[in-house]
Amino acid sequence: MVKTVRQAFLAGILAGFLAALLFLVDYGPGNSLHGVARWLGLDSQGAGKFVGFLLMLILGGVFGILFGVIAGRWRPNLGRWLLIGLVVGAVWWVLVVLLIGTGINHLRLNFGDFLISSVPLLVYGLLLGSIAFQWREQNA
Amino acid sequence: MRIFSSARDPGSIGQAVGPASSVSSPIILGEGSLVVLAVVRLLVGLLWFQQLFWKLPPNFTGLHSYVVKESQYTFLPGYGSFIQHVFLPNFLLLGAFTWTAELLVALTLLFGVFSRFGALLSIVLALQLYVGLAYAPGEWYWTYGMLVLLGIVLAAVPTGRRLGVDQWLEPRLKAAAQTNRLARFLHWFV
Repeated sequence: MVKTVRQAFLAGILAGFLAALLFLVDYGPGNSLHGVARWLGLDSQGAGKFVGFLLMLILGGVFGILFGVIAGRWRPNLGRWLLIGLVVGAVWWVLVVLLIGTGINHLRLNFGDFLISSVPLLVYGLLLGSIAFQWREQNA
Repeated sequence: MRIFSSARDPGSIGQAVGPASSVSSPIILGEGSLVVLAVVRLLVGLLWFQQLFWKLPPNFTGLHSYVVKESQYTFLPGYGSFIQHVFLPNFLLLGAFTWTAELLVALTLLFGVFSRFGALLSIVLALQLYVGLAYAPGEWYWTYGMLVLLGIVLAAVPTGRRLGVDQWLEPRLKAAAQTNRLARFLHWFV
């Protein structure tokens, strides 16, 4: 269980890094990362992008631990781990973007904002499940 | 770990029978190459995903000027007239179709689910852009050409089988393909 959680934490950081790439590559150099920093009210003109990138790694690791705790209860199974990863990505969106970002920090959430925040976080969840399973399979 | 892009028996792919054989030896992609290609798939999916936001429903406003441009500068005889008389009068329908198709390409490539279907659809969309916009003023004709080529690469290599749902789907569809025609058909797209 401890091993699964530790691996999931590292997989979460890596998946967070890959998801951060989805925010990094845009019309401007990393402008979407300001949006990530805004979720927690930490955006600023100078450091906002860097804070957003760091947040993707930190939250990636934190939700990776959540994934490890849930997934560690069952025997490794690719389908189940991908599904749990997607659910963890959705939980990240609900907790951080919807409740904290929109509910507390009053960020707008129109159709475009919904798409641009939810899809990368679901991709994070999928990558988390896939990477964690791959590592588990290699170490088995 | 190795991967074959075909549902056929891997042993039947290009097996060399001796030193004098003219048959090439099979190329097997290593795990590292597969993961790199999966990341490329993710970023191409992102490319299509980002293009959704300047032509959002319900009006698809950003798209209109490009459709008009296509009607003026297409190199295909008759296509400009077709756009003017069929597409532009039904612009909302065209916008809904285009936007939905691009969303489908983005989601299939980002999540690696039926990723080869997404790649094939991206080829169709990119070819249409090439025909319409490649020689329009201010456009570089290779932009759309490269978009077509990226789609071809992602259709040729099963990139969704790493860091994607296709990794889970493929063995199931392959097993079901023995007895089920639909599964055999769907297996082409993973």
